[in-house]
Amino acid sequence: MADVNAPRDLDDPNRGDRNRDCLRDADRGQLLLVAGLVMAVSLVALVVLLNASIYSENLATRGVEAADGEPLEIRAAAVDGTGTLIDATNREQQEDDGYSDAEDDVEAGITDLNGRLGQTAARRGGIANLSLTGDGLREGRYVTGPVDDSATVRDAERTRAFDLAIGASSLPDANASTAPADAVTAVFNRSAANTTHEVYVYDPDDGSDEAAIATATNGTNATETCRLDAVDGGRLSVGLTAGTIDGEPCPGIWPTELSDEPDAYDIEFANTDGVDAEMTATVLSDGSVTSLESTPAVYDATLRFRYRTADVRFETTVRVAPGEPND
Amino acid sequence: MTERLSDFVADERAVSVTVGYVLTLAIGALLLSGVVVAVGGVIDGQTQRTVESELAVAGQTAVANLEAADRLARAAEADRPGSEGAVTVAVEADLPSRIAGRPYRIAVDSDAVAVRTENPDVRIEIPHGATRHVSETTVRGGPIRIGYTVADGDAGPGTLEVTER
Repeated sequence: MADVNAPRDLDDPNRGDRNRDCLRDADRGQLLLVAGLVMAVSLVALVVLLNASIYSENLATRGVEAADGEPLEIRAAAVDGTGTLIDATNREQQEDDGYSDAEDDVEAGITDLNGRLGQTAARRGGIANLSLTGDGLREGRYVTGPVDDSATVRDAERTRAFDLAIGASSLPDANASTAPADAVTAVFNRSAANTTHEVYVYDPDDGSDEAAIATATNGTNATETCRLDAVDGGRLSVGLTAGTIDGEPCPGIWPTELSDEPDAYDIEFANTDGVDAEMTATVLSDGSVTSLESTPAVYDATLRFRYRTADVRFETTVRVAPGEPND
Repeated sequence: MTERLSDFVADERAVSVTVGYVLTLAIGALLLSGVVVAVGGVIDGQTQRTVESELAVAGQTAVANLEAADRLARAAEADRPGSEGAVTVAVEADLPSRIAGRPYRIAVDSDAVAVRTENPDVRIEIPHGATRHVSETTVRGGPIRIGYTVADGDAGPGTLEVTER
């Protein structure tokens, strides 16, 4: 399109008006300026949004760090450590040692454990504290020794870590129906409820396996719970409270009624003549122990556990009784 | 007079300037509106995607911390002798205060954690597996605290509560 404007005359007296016209022509650039600004702002917004999106996706792929890992880890260390400490102390008790010796040892051990756990937590930026509660420690008895039919533990309120070790070659042959008469028998006598619970250990007389366990109530209707085809090392270990046979799981050995039993029960044995059998257990009992070695022991410990970091606070009370059957 | 009028009609000297100016304005306006519409659409779409993505991440973080508090609560009550000793569990989570520049809300109930913004209207619901009872509540998006308390003498179980901090 041809430019039909009159040529600019610098000497023209109306030059000012013409310059204003030239400036008006420049207004056409405003559209481009506005478009450029809109584009620039939009691009900035887009970049910010993309950045936010990338950041959030980065967070998502990074995974969320579980807040509960460390407190649970330290709590488990506190419980395991205290359990090991109690059992080790009980094992080391001599016949002429009193309960106060065991109590002092466990209290000193818990103080030491508290210091170690505190150091571990401090290295991770946290605070951990372990202390005995007012109830603290409860007195029990650590019972061990060879088992015969006269061995008894009277008035047991609770029992934990009850293990029976039997020479595999001395196990009597039996089956579920003959077990009450022939098998090595551990009897839990709930005299208040006039009920007994039996656990039978025997060598199945069909020759198929080396050991089997059956359970019964009041000595009748014995039911086989589990079998073992080979005994490792010639000595069969039966974890009565743990529910194991030679280390293999055998659930249902421990009578669940005993866990709910408000009254004390007696532990007795039968059909052990000529059988190479030994037991160990820790019992909460004020009653007598016959034909077995018994020393004063710590049955359980009640602890107050506290753990704190910038993000997590965890406080609880926990009772430690290693090897106690689950409710 | 007639001659002067015919001269004016035939005179096309200013027409090109006017037409050129109008054409420039029209094309410019068209381009500008095209750019605004196109870029606006892209930004709206990207905003929606970003908000959804960030809400999902914030929701999952909230759920992870809620479940962590639940695990701690269960561990705190395991082997607790009866109702002895108070149980205190608190987990603090640093969630963002704004999602793509927008405020949001976190609604918690016994089944899921829902996070939502109003503009754009986006709601993301993430189910959680907490086994303890979770108090139904809605809080502003941002740093939160998940608490669980059982008083000394109370056998429990307690309730997980989410609060702002």
